[in-house]
Amino acid sequence: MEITQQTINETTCVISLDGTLNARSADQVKEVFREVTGKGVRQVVLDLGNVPFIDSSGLAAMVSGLKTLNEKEGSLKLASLQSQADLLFRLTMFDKVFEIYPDIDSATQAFAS
Amino acid sequence: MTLQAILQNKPIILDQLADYWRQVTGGQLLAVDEKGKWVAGDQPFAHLDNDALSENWRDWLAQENANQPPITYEGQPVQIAPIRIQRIPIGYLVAVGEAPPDLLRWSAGTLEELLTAEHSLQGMTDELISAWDQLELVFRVTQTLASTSDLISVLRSVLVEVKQVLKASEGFLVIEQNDHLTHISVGGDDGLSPQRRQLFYHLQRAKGLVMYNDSESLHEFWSDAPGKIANLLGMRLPTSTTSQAVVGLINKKEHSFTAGDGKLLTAVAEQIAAIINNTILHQQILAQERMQRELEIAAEIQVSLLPHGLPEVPGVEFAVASLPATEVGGDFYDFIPLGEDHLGMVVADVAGKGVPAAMLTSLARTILRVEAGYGHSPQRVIRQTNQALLQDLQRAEMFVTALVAYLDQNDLTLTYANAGHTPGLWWQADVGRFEQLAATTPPLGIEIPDLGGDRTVHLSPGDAILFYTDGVTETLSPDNQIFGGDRLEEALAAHAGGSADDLVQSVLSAVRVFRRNAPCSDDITMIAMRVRPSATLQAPQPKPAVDFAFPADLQVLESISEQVTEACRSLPSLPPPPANNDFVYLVELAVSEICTNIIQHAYLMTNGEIRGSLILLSNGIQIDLYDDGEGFDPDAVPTPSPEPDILNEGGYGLHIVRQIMDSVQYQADTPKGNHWRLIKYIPSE
Repeated sequence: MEITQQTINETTCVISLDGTLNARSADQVKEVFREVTGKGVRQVVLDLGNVPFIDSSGLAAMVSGLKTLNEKEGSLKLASLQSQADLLFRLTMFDKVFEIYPDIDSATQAFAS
Repeated sequence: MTLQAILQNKPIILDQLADYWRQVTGGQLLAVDEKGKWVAGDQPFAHLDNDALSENWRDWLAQENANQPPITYEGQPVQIAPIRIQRIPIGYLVAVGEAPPDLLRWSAGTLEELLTAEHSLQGMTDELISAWDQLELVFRVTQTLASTSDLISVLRSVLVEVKQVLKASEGFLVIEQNDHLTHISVGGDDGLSPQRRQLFYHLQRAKGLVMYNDSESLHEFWSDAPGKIANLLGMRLPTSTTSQAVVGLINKKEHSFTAGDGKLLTAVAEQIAAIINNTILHQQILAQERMQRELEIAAEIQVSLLPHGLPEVPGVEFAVASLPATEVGGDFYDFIPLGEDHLGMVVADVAGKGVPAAMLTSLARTILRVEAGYGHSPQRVIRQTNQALLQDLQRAEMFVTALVAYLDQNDLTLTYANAGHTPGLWWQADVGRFEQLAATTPPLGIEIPDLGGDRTVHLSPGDAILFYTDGVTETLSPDNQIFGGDRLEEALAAHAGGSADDLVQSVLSAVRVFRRNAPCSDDITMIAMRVRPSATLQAPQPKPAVDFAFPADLQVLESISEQVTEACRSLPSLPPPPANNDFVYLVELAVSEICTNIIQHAYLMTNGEIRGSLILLSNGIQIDLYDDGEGFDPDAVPTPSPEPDILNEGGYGLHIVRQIMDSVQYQADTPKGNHWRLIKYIPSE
């Protein structure tokens, strides 16, 4: 899985994932959350626009990221879910747990306001 | 009733009598109350005020009672006669002047009659006034009946109304049914005191309405009547023979009970009796109907729960028999299809008869079915079912014997566990003898020690299996002999070459002959299975399938997914994209979850292999996955908390798989390794 970071400001960044989010890539994602919070980032938009498939290990990685941020009183917003991810979130009711936005812009704007 | 009340209202009664008295005797006539106080009539001692008359009164009465007439006052003779109504003295008639004593007694008698008539007249006027109240009472009673279903509260409301209308301080109702006294009281003590019991039996014995307004006559009727009861109106209710009841009122406020009160009580008593009779009758009918209906429902449920038809297995034929001894039996059998290659069979006997047994039968059958559906081994199914039912069974002091067997249709191996059930009989055609498939664990309802262990037997062409309940072997002959296992084997052996149906029929007819006229004491249930002599054990029909084998490594998850997606998309019955996306996503997700599970938990991230096949069904897809890692207990995986606040970082996988697939079965340590079987059907439109 390819992961890219885009800094918006000192405390806000967009993390974009590219590839399948499963047991294989889960640790990578958990790690990047720890890395950015370590650098002082508190507001993260997780861009899932290029993630065609997420399974429960992927969900667990996002839960881990949410918890990492919550511990620092930060917050996480998800953006650009593909249809499989959307189905998974509805199925597991995680759409009630995460803040989900249609695209990166609306997610970052939500942080700005 | 007081003398004043009547005479002040109608002084003319005494005035006319005094006129008559004057004409006949030339003397004077007056009425005084019990204390000698003037009430009506002449005033011969005008100079004597009431107090002074009262002072003389005691002496006069004493003289009168001592029979020492003549009493004289101021030179005039005085005669006294008591005035009584309903035996209660309410005053005296006093004559002043010479007169025959008989005439005074006659006058007093006449006055009593006039007073009584006037009193009744006043009573009737009162009745007329209260007629409206009574009409309203009847209306309210009817309303109460419509709105309340509970007998006691209906009767209490009626009693409240009666007590109010008749101005009594207490109303009571005692019902005796099945030697049990129910006491309802308004305005009095709620408890059923020994005195109330006495009153009940006294009123019970009295034939009709009982009305006592003085303590003397009350004590004649009821010698132990408590002092606080001044007057009593009561009666036995005209109830049916199955119950006795009395109703009554105590202590009419400031008055005596009247004939009118009695009439009203009689009328209400009839209504109350009708209420009691109807309720009791209704309850009896309801209870009977409910019982009957319960039995019918239980029997219907049980019959509907038995499988319709027989399973179809190439080379194997089946026959069943199910004869309940009573309307609702405790026996049942079941066939449970387990995927493409296996058939589950259950024969069970719930100890006990009737509705409780039927309910446990339904419950046991369902749980066995569900547990078998999880793909657990027979022994495991029995253990899980026992865990689920143990408390209920122990509370009901019942137990269930069950034989659970799986037939592998490919190689005709029969894997079974027997929980205290009669041994299955296995006819081995090649050696021509029976082997018993005996109990492997105690019956359900007893804490089963974890003995593990299914038993497996390999059936050959010509072999037969009979599962049966003890109703067969414990059939009694008219001289109380038991049919027994030997006779059963005899009957079977005689038809060992016949069809499955022959086997069942031969047992049934042997039992019938043995029993002759004796009644069926227990249910009889049988499953017979026979492997056709010509049956060739062959591999299952080839199906469109994709076989694969991958190293157990997280790297391969995506490759497996690709194959799954491809296989799914090739399903002819799958609607075109994007309508099918969800189906494909879900199957892909399930496979990803199970493979992750195998890699992480079965192989613990060490080297290994995941083998599998994707089988296209006509209306869905079946995925078999095998691994050689550690087996595990799928039931031990906790369900993740549904609370969004408590976020688990994992543990969702298996939960999701069970949610999205139509069938999830797991069996550890099969010959091909630990086996997962996932099936998902294409949802119908």
